[in-house]
Amino acid sequence: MNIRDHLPLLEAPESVWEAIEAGLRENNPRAARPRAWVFIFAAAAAVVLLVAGGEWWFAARRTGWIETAASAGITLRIGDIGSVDVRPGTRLRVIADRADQHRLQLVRGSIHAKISAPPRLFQVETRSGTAVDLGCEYSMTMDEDGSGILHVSAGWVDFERDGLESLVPAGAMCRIRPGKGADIPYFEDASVEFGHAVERGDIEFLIRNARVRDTLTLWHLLSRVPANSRARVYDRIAALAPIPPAISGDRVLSLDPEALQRLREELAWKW
Amino acid sequence: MKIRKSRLILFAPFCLIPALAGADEFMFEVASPVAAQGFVSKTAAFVFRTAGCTDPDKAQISATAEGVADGTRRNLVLRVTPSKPGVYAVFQQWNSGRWVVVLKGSCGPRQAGAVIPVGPRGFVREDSKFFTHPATAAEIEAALKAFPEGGYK
Repeated sequence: MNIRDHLPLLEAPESVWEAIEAGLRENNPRAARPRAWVFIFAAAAAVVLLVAGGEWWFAARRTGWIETAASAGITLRIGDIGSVDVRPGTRLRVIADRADQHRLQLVRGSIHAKISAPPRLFQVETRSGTAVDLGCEYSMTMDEDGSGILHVSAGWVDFERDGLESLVPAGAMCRIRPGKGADIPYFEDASVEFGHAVERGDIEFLIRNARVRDTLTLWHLLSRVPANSRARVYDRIAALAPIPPAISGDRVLSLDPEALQRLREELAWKW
Repeated sequence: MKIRKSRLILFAPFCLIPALAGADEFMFEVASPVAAQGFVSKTAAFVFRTAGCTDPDKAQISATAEGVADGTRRNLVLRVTPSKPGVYAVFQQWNSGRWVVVLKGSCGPRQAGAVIPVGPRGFVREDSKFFTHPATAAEIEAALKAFPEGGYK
């Protein structure tokens, strides 16, 4: 099902046509000229209405609300780039449905997106931030208060809010907090205790118990912990995954964006 | 034994090749597609790069898929097409069965090999084997026999 097939059609208001008919029924000494005048007016109005109504209809079909019943979901085709399964009991809005941009707003419920497209072509906005598709498959569930959870099963997703990003690769997940955006991501094969430690922000536990691939979590911690804890996080990362000399530890600890980016690119070979 | 050609698609946006191995070791390193950070490779089973080769342009890389499907031992010769020195992507081009991807490389006199099991969620890191020689037939068969009952989940 294409998004456009699921949005309501719009019609011209009845009052316009009633006014035209009333004008045509009038018995007026000027009927010869008014009749012609009315006919011209009606034709012109019809043209305007068709044009305005068509654009409105077109615009409305490209955007609008979708709400699934409690017992039935639907599948939306996202242009030529993929599809989104909209689970039962879900409310979302199509913000943009163009060849150069596809954007949804997920208010509540769950979706499962499977997208094959260049990065950033498909985005899902929520109250707590935006999931930017970098080419992948993922599920996202949101409550109306802005809390939710994101699971990525293929590729990777960037969840952004106020300049803070969480990169969630395949096999990882993160919680979404109302008004705060995404929590630190962690791999789903981490221990239950590790996941709980992420959620309560237990830095010491995470440092002590991180595996090599949990450098995903530790990397995200770097920009989220106080400066006096950052060095210990970095040291643990370095102990788990050798960091090339070309990446300056001092610049990482000062949260230099380029150094953080290079470190992330290097650590990704362990994720 | 059925042999057909499939294409190994290479993708390499990386600018860093780490000194992962010792100075004298030429080795493969394997990762999930996020490591390549590229649109082309995001649906790959895995990406890999070389380390320890002083002249990546001259590295000779080959890959084959070895597997058992429908009770029959099979292999696929994968065509190597470099796009950037040192980084490549492997896409799953088989439908069912137990498969490993066998990587073979040489950098001057140095050689490297790897046997990478691939499951429904991509490569299996913990059971991947890396060598400083081309994988032997015995090492490949051992990897195929090590698949868990019912395959990787």
